Amino acid sequence: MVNLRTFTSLTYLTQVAFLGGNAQTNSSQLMDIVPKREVLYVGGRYTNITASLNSH
Amino acid sequence: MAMIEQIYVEKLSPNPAPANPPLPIIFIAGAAQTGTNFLDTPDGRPGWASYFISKGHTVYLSDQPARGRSFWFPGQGSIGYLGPPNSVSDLFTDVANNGNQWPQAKLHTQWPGTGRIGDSTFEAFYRSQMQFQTNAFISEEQNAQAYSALVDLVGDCYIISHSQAGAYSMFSQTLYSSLKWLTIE
Repeated sequence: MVNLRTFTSLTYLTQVAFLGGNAQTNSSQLMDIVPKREVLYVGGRYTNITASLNSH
Repeated sequence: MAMIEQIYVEKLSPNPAPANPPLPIIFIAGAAQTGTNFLDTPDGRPGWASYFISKGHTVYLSDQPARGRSFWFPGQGSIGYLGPPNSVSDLFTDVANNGNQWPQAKLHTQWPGTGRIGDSTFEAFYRSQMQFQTNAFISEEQNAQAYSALVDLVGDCYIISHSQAGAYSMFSQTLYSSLKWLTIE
């Protein structure tokens, strides 16, 4: 199912990431792709190093 | 207690999903760069993510540990940056005019625009550079762990790694002999 809200977010992110003040129209058909977008955080481990956080 | 060394991953899938999808692709950006590299080019053209999604691949765009949207624990290792803009121009974006710093330098002519300060494409590129872990031992260990976890999650896949990240796809290859990987410069 096409998720317009997801597509809008992706478009926004890509514009922010690279265009900045260089915004220009892109007419490529590739921009019409509407992917399903999921954000994951992967891996990591627990640690006892807390000194830096405790100093604040 | 804290959690460290996890990575940010953005999963983009063709929608609707193809009936017989090809293997998914994990992208790992090179030094100072992030998963946004593969969304668009600095001059606004569609990037590799769009291309491979259009071919039916699910893509995983990631930020290495301690970079961009991936957590860095203050004091862990050494955090640096890619370098001043003129050095970046000489090495990456205006190589043909870097004073012949190496014999093939003059052949690098495909970067759009001047590749220097004041050029909007260069500045879009330079603006997207992030802090990164410059302690190679810590970086290698953290990347091996994080991307092994990602491969565990994804299963059979390709890895396309860029520049500095080339070592990490090769390291993953030693852990997962069935992986297919490609390093791009």
